[in-house]
Amino acid sequence: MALTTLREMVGTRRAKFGTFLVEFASPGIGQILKAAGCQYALLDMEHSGFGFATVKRLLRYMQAAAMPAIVRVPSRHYHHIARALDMGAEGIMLPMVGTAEEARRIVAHAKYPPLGHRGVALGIAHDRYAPVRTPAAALRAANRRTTVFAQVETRRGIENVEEIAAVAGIDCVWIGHFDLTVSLGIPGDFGHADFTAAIERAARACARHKKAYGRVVPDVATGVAAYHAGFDFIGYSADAWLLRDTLRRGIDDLKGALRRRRAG
Amino acid sequence: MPGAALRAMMGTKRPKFGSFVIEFDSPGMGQILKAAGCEYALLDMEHSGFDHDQLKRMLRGYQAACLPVVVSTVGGDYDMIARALDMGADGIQPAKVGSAEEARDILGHVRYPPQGNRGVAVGIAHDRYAPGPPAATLRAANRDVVFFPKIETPQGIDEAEAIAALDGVGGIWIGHFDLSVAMGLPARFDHPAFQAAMRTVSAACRKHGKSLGRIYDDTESGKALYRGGFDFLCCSGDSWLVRRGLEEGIMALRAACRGPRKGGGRARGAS
Repeated sequence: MALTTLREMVGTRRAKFGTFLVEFASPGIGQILKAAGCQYALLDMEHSGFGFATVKRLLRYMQAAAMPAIVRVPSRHYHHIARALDMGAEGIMLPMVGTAEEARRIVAHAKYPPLGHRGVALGIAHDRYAPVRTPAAALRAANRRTTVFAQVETRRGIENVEEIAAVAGIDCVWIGHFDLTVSLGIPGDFGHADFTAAIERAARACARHKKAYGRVVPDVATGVAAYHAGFDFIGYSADAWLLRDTLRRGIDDLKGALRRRRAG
Repeated sequence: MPGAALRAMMGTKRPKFGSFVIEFDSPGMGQILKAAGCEYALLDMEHSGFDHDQLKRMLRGYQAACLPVVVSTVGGDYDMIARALDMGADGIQPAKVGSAEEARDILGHVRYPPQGNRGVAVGIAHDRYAPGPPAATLRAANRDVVFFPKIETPQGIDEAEAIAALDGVGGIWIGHFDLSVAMGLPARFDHPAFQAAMRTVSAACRKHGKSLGRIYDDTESGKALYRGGFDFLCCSGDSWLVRRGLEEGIMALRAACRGPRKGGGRARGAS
């Protein structure tokens, strides 16, 4: 069965493949990702510099391709979470979640009453400007549709990962692998036993509480290892790095071939 | 002289590598292409929908990376050519140039008087807002701005020799798709008639010491182009490269990430 929404995706342990957007906000990007076989896009607001005006446009480009999008907001503040959702994000990702209390607060920002306190505006971007016939049903549908991805990327987050995964409304635990190694005092050392122990602990927590488990991987080998370590949301590389690395390969391969020809 | 980098590449035999930009207008593009090993970028205004306002922003991103840019325009109209140059393009590539006369007319829009009729504004984007004696600025622009007409019709092939011979033509670019369509051989780049057309242009460029450029999709076709006399080798385009890289990665992952997880998938349901 094809998975068409993030709600469906967080409900299965099958592998889902997507990519990260940190640079290209162009109109064609949703359809380019779709043509590549991508199942979801992760739009970064933490490091990219994308503002809400850009995210609002980007989300339409994603909808034009029927590509579910998760927006990683720059903070856990209400004004970031609720606005990203109002622009039409199906999922939001929160950086640096350290405790269950933080996770509960995030869920409350993201859900309409009675589950939370998200401010209500209907007939705007998030519901595709549809006329509202029964507001109560619209709010229930939005609460169901909205998915929450909590990034665990600190020592504190790992120490509390069981309770974070247990919070109702947290749909996925996402490992911020770089920040996590930095927090563990082993920057970039993904082979370190402390890192392996941390991702195993988070995997067990997700399995126990039936939550999805995700991370970004820089290459195929890391992705396959992540799958076997229990991850099911696998974000493959990112827009700018895909362009850089594919182009670099295209140029270097030809350069090498021309050099061999001259030498031969 | 930052403006002279592209000119210095013209007419040299060594392969020059670049890439085509038809979709992504983000600030980092110049540095991303540079990090990938590009020596120039070919920025499309024919099919992309990029306008001059966008071009002006985009060119600053390429200048930030010291990466020269050739701008391809939908035709040779003055307002297309002169405005793209005013935004700071290092080279200009009008589409569908069919004769030496047409090339000479367009070249007029590229050059300031006395060589041409490009309208003068100095201390703006094209000269990096620098003060200076205007006469020297105009001389430098007339010397450094590269004219790189695109041939993509049988008429253009017939006139290739005369176009290459023109003083002020830095090189010839082949629009291979359009040319194959115009020849009634859509995408049949191996067809003898298409190959003969390539040889005609290549001989013309060699004779007049001019560069020759085209887009390549893979190493094999790139090798064949270089062997056939092309020295500006342009590796695919931005959106296709992202799609290809992502598709390859996801296909490989999808093939490997199915079925039971080694280590028992940590007691997860298989749902």
